[in-house]
Amino acid sequence: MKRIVALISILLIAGGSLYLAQHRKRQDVVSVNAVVDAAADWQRDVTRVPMHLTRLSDEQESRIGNALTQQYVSAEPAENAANAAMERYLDEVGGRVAAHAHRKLVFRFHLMANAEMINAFALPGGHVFVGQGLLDQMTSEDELAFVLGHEIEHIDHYHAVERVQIDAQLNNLNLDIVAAVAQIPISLWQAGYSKDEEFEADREGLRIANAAGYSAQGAVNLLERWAHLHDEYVTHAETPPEALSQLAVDGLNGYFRTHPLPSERLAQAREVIAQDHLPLDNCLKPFHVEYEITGGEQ
Amino acid sequence: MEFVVLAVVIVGAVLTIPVIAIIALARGAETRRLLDDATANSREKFLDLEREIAILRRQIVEISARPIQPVPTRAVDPATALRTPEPRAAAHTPPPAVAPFEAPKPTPQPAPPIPAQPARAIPEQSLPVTPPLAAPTNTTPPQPTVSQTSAPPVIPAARPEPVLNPPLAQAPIPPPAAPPLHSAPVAPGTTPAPAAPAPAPPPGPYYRQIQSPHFPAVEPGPPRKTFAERLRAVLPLEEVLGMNLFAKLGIVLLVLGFALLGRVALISMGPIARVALIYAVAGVMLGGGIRLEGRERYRLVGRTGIGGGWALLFFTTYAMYHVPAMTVMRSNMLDCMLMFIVAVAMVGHTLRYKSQLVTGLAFLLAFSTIALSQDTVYSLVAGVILAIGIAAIALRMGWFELEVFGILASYANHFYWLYRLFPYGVAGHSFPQFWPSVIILILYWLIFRISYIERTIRVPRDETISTIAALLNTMLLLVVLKYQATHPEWAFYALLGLGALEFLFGQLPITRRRRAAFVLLTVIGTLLIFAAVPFRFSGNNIALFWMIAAEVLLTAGIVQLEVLFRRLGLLAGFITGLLIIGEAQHLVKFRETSEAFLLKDGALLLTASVLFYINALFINRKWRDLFGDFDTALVTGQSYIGCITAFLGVWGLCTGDWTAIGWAILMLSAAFGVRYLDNKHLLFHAMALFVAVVVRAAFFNCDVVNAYPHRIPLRLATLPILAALFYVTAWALSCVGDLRFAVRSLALWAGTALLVALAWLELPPMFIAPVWMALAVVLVLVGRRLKLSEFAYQEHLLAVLVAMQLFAVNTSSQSAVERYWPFIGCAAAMYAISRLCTLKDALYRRPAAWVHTWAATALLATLAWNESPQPWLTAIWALFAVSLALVDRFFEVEELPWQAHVLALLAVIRAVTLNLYSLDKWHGIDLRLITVAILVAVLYAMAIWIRMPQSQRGSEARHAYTWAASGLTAWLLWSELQPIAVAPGLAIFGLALFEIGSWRQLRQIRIQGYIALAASFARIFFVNLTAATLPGELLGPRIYTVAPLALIYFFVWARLQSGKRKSELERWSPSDLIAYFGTGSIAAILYFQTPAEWIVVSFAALALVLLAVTLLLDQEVFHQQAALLVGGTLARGFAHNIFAGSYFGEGGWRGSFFVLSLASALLFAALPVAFKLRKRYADRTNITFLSLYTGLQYPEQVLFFAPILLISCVIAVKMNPGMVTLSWGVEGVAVIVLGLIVSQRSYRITGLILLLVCVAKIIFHDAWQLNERDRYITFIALGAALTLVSTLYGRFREVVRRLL
Repeated sequence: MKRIVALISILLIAGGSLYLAQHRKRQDVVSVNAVVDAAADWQRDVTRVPMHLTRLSDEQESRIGNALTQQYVSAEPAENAANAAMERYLDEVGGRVAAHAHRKLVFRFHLMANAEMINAFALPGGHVFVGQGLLDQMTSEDELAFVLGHEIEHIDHYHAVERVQIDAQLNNLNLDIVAAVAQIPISLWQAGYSKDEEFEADREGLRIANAAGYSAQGAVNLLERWAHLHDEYVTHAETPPEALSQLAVDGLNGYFRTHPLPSERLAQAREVIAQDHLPLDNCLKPFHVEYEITGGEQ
Repeated sequence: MEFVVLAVVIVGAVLTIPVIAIIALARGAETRRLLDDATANSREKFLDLEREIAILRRQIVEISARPIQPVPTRAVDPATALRTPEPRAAAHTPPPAVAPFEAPKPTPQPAPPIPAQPARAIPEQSLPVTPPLAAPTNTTPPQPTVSQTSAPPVIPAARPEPVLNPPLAQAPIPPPAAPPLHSAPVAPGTTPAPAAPAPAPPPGPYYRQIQSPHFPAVEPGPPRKTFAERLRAVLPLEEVLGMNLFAKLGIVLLVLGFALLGRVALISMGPIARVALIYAVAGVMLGGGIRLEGRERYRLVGRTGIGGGWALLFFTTYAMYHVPAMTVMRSNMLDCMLMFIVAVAMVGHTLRYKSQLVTGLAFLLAFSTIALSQDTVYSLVAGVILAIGIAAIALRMGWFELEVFGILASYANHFYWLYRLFPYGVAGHSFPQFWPSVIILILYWLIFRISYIERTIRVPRDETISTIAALLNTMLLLVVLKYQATHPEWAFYALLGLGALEFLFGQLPITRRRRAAFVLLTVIGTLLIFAAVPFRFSGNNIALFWMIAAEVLLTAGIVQLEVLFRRLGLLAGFITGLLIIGEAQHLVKFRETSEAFLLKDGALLLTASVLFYINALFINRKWRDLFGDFDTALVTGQSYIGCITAFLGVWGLCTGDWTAIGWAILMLSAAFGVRYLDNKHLLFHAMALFVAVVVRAAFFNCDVVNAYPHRIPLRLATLPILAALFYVTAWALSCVGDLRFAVRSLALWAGTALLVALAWLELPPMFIAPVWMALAVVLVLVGRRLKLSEFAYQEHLLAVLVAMQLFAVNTSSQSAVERYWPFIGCAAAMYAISRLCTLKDALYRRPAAWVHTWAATALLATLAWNESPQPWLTAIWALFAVSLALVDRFFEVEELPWQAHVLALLAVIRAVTLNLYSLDKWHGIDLRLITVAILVAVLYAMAIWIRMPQSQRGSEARHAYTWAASGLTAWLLWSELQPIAVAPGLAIFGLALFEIGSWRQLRQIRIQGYIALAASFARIFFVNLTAATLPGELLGPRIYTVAPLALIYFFVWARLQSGKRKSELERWSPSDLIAYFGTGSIAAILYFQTPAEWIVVSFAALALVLLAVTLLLDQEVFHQQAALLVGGTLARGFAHNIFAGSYFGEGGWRGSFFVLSLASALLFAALPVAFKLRKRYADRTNITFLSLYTGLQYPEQVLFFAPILLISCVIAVKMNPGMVTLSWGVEGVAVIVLGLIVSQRSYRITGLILLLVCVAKIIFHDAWQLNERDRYITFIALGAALTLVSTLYGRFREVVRRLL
């Protein structure tokens, strides 16, 4: 009798679970993200062990970053007055945010005057590059502060310099030689980082941007915009075979993809905001477009 | 001037070589004589020992056959026993080294004329410890003795006895019964034997002493060693490494260091001072080594010191002229003389110790120092001197391994000199040192070659080493000469001359006394002469010269009855044949583009073929006695070469479609050769040619590759001719029982295949299948008449081809006539001949008939597949299968169930591949649901109604249908439910199957339920665990969709446990996997629901809960899971919290220290539970292997070491570096205290190890970090420490053991 009661109870609970799941408003995506994310996390954790044990000093990191920046900046076209003014604007906002970083590095901010470059990246030692295309998408200075904070935290948390360590170990490079450092391609940093590192940069970047006086709403707005754009490209599987094929493709993409999904980043941002009780102020600082026009001269 | 010096040195060396050789010969003859005597003596002793062993064995057999009598034992003082040996024990007592030479040579016959002699002779052999007593008795009779006075103190022949005897000497020794000199050997407790030799035992000096041996009782085996004992057993290895290897390395580094010192360092010091300093150091090393060598404990260090001292002495002498920084003399000749003197002294002195270590080390270091410092070619003269010395030592002492080292060192030294001059090789450039270098190299070669010829081989191993040396000598000479070659055109003369010299050396009488040397030098000479030819000639001329030489050698071998010459000739002929084949590659390439007639090449190749066949079939038969197995193999190889050349020759002479005819004629000839000469190799030739004919006919005559046949008339002519030749070949090879039968069958198949191909090539496609079917019918009828089974097989294959042709061609026909009638006609023909398709008495007659009917049924099924609507085909096939099953159920037609099975399988496959993906509707209802549901119902029905084969009726084979039905149901669930609801759906379905299976007692249904449960568990990793919580949801979907699954898993697992007996509960069961699903679900929820930093804590908490459950329920499975979770906690803590967490992690209660401390505390909190579990499971012997490996019997160790490792590591990584040592110290103390409290030795040892690590860190890390400049000092100190360690291991090894 006990068995029958227990069986019926369990069937009722499971049936209720089935009912709730079947009538859920959202259709969840079938993916191997659970396994892949766990594997990626473990892989990142394991690979950080040797990084931790062979940490470069701040001086070495700055020297390497300067060498890389010099190599990259020299390949960029000559500056004009508007670009110089924009760089000063980036320096002003970035310097304000970078003052709250953990490591006391000399942070410098560079503009890449390429309207098709919707990206930003950071090099070791404190160099942050922001593409013109990304700046064109911004509607407030708070969004810029979040982006710069994100890149600053990639440097601050050694994500950028670990790329150097990995590449040096893989290619047996002597980092004391400038020519050897120059062999490291910039695309290593342009490609982005692991999901965990991106989450960490998001989280910490949001915090230092907020500490610098910028609203967390900027980050929310930017991430919401990206999530909306991303959702337009996502398709849901209709049949089990489609789900299986999507599993395979998404599994591979998921493991090798660098940035997390915008929705995941947005969820984390909301979580941090709630956890740290960050104010969501809708009065955002305007993006200083006049810098582009007047060169920053008031 | 330099040439004069070189000439003087060379003359000196040339004069020295004979002197050394004469001396070595004289000493060698003396040594040989001594060795011969010692060998004879040892042989006699060996024979005596063998007889003794035989007697002992016989006595063992006798004793074991009768009851053992008690043996009176008495405590014997070992000293007394040794001091007062008695005759019986003396046979087992090791005599001193000189005893065998002081004793008279034992005679195999007894000596009856002198009564006292037997009694006296025995003590002379058996009383080695009292030579003064034996000596007077030995002087009276003039017995033959060896010249012991002139014998060296250590003779190898004298050593075996002391080595062999000690175990025997350990036997209990009874007290002496009589004075040893006047008593015959009498065993205690037995009647004394008379002095006269007894008739029964065999003669010999020992047998009397072992007439009644005592055998100790069998002792129990040694007790199992403890860890400490094993550690002590390992320690001697460290002694070997520390005292032996380190000492040698130290000396080597010292000598090389001083060599570099003299060359580059101490700039302010003058050359004289340097020479004096290094001479002094060499003297100290030499003197110290000589002094230390006398002390047993430091003998190895002393000997290495002697070797190093001599090497340094030689180097300094060499450097006095050749090293600029140490040049103190202007005369190269004087320096060479001094070097020679030093080398002679080095040889003489080091040989005193008769140690290859000393001598080898001296020469190794001498060579090395010269290599470091050589500047001119004349400095290599020192190497010549060393080579002479090594050769002399090798001849004198028989250390041929040392000579191998000398050869390597000499040539390597020379090569290194050349390499420094020309890093990329001389490459044809002339250089002034060429001739001196050549002369020195030839001197090397000559010295070592003379040594090789002259030597006397004592044991087979010497010959092996000598062979290696001889090969190395020539090979290295050629390598170095090649490297320094300035005139490549001289290579012919160099190889020819060197080969001639080697060949001549091989024919010398002194060489011929050693067969191995004769063979080796003859072979080397011949090879070099042969190798010289391509350097001057090319193309067929090489083959011509080689063929001539081969024939000469073969003839010489037959005339002189010398097998070596014959084999060399045969080998040369064989290689020449390969060369001819290689040269014929242009014919093959030519045939790729042209079919022109090649008379010259064809005739040449056919002539060569005839020659090779004559050699193979005539010479081998005529002088059969001279040809061994190897020679026969070579001759056989030549016959194969003849076959290849014949093949190529015919290819050159016969072109186009007639090539296959020509090869077929060759094949036929080989077949007749097989028939009349009974040569099996000709059968292989015929087979190879058969393959060639088939390939040629297929690709050329049949125009498979060429889309536009141009030779239809030729094909119509040649293909029937070829078929006829194949049939005739089959007749020629007709014989049953060997390989010819297989070849005959292949020929028959080939003939028929050509006819089939002819029909395929010339008929319209729609008529091919019927014609083939007709040919098949004809073949089977002819085969039945002639009783040729091959034709029946060919019919089978043709039937298959007919079916394939129908499927491939006729199904796609637009005409209904061409689509239906060939199918129906061929199916009818298959049904018709199904009972006539084999020979009458064929064993497979019934299966063949089945196959034909199956083929007919398949044809009809295919027709249905072509004509029916696609979505409903599944249902049609399924219903057709049910119909067949029902018909069989009533009429018992045995083929029908099988066809029903196949149709059902096809229906399932059809559903899986098509219906499950259909989104069409039928009257508003999902077509997928309707058709698959029908199929599922049919499958469950067939599981009940189908008549299984007799052999399967008792089994569960019918459940294949239920498996398919359940699988399809699961698939429907997957298709119809929302993604996140699939896992609960599968779990409920699995639970239902489990309950039905339990109710109806159907094991397969239960297993299907388990599979569904497993699938539901796997499913959560694809959707449920990543499902995000929506706004407004109180409970996250991860929890409310996964947690019920855990309930189901635990419910099913509990139901499975309820009926088990206790013994079953203690065994691992697959059902435990379901418990793993439950715990895994919970762990997965924790992993994905908990913040990353806190996962480690959640795992630790779950482990604690599981351990508590283990304690309450007494279920090992939960302990296994707990142990795995502890491992997960440890891994997660290491990988994430310690190394991968944020570098600026939060402090306080969210920091790494707190999180890991909390996790560790939870694990420590489980320790009381673990101790209770240990008490419960410690004595339980029948625990599962998984529990054993997860530490069920010692859970307190797992739960102790995991947190200790975590804490230690987090201290090392996260703590301020200056505090790490202190923290570890505190932790170690705490651990020791804990160990004392809980009385755990392993805990205390862990604490001690932690403290030792602290000490090591201070020494090896902190101290080094404080002083950068100490690196250089450390390097020197490291060397001193190594030396000190090596000394301490010898001096204080017992203390070290106690410390360990």
